[in-house]
Amino acid sequence: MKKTFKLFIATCLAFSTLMTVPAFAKETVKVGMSGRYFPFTFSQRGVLQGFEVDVWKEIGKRGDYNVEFVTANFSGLFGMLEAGHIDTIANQITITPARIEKFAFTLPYVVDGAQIVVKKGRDDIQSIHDLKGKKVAVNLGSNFEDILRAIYPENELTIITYDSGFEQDVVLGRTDAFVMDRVSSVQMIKKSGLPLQLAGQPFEKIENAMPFLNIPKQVKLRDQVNQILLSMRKDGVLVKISEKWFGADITQ
Amino acid sequence: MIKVTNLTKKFAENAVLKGIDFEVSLGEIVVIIGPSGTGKSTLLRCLNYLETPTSGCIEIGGIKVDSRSATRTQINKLRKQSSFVFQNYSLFANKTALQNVAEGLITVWKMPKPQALQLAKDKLIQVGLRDKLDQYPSQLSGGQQQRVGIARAMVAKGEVILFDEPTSALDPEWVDEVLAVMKTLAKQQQTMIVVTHEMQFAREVADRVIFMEGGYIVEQGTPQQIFENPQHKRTQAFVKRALKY
Amino acid sequence: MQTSLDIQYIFELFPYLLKYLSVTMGMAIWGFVLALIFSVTIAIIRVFKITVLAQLCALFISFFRGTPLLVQLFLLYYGLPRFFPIFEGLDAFTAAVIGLSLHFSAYMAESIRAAIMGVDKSQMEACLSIGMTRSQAMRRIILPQASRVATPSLMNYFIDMIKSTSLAFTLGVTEIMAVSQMEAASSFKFFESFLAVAFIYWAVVVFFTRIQYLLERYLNRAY
Repeated sequence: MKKTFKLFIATCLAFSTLMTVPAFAKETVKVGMSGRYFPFTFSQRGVLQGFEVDVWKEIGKRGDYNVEFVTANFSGLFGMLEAGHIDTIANQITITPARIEKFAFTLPYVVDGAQIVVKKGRDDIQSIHDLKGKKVAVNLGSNFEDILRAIYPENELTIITYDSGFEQDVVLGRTDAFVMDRVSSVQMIKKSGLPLQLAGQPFEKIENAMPFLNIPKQVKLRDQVNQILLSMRKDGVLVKISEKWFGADITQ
Repeated sequence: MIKVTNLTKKFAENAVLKGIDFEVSLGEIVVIIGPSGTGKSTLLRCLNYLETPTSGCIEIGGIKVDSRSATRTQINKLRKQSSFVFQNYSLFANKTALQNVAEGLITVWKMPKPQALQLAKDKLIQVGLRDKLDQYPSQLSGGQQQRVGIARAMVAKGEVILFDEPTSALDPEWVDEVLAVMKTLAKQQQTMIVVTHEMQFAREVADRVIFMEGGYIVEQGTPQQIFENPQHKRTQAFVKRALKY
Repeated sequence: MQTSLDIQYIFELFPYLLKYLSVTMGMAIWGFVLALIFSVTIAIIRVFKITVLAQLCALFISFFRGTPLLVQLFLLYYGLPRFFPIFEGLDAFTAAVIGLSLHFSAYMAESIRAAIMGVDKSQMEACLSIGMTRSQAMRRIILPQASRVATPSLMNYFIDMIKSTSLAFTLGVTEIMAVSQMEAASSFKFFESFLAVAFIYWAVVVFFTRIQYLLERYLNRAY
């Protein structure tokens, strides 16, 4: 009942948008992102850019959407999605069982792994098992916390969640390590010049995709986006975007 | 005309007024005297409903309020029949002398502003404050403040002005100017009820003096009767002591 | 590790930050105006002890002082649309303004109530004695006097509110704090970015402190 009502309102809203703009107007897709996740989504000299932005610009072009980027704190993105304030999130959202239950994900467009990063010169941490008893930072609202908790169910390590600035804390020795996806770790170390290094191999395969609400209208949109992603893979544009930002193909 | 019937007031278990009856006719000047803490001020405050009486009836200018059945509208109507001059002046601290006097005319009586300000100005000139119109209370002496307070009470369209020890918070040097204003008012046949310790004023100005003690009216009469030939022992004792000073 | 301070970067950042100052100040000013209206209403209801309403206001204050602003913003923006689909149309800026105003009005109501109680009882009596109703007295005499007492603490809340607007980024409102963090995310010049944004906040607060001084001088003219 609630859902149908929601749908009704959504339809009304959709119609009212159709009424107010010319009939040939494009469908608007609101894409949420943090704007603070280099090089996926960030701002430089006031211009929002990055891998995610390029991917969605391409999707918009092919699907004839009017893509509107909405930047918000990462911890607020899922709330916005659930409340219908945005259509999807393009912020390297990892597919997890819990999330799959709740959202309609697109096909994965980035494949990556969780990476431990420590201060340069530190070699006592080489794998996930060396984190026992250590202080480890993860980004607030990210899924690395769940991964770590699954490996250490007895809380044998201290997890600290940050909004930003955790790289600095690892450099300063306040925190032993942080866990982030491999791709952005490499990028971040390169770009920032901070004395940090990767510790060991990535320990968990991560597939990133874009979540949509599990309601017919949004699932339909998700299906369209999937078709576009497939075509972007086929003609190599997705890889091209990846190479532009990472110098490597992170899409498979 | 003012008529008070069987007025009582209790604060918690402490009875301050124990059944007061009196009448005041139009143009009459009544002075209430008596030792401190005998309910004189409470009586006056009840007349203006600044205190709610425990029981009894108050009638002023045709508005009759029984404390047991008093409604807000009734109380508001009754209040408009009298105005009050406070011991500590209680001028509106955020308003100039002129605004203090004009405030009631504008807010309560809905008089157009220019007219209200003109009337207020006239009254302030009457009480000798021509050059203080735009001063704030904090810039006025005690005597000047109290004269503004009297002017504010004068413009209210009530039947009676109630004076609650109008000079007792004043430095001695300001007392006379305030009493002078009150005497002028008295000459204009303004109905007044005055609670005061100024016996000289009472003798000179009052049409009637009421002596109160212990929550009762003990004795009343002309100033001559009360000051020169008091009947009641307690009146005698009080007058004897009071006139010494 | 960067050891030197990139002053030039700070100056380069200013124009981008200043572009969003209107968002920050828009939220703060609208939020404060609404909060003033709410808080004065609540304070008066509490001072007059109006039945039922006074209890509701006490509950309101208890909740909005007792929970973090961030939680309130979340509930307002993400929670309400779940139960009342009509709120789906609520844009983030408006939600932030409403959230900030509700939160701060709870604090401000108590300051204003204290200021009203601090006005000498004789002022109310003087009003009543010349036939004013209690609400006339409140409007014409008591509130103007209370405003003088309340101004410094209300200004404190306003300044606090300016800085609290940064939480609105959680709802997707891009304001100066968000811009500084987004720029820092790509340049990794966190210190410089935060320094730049700190300067802007500081300058704004200094400006409003000056306004406060002038306002207080005006309100003190009678004293």
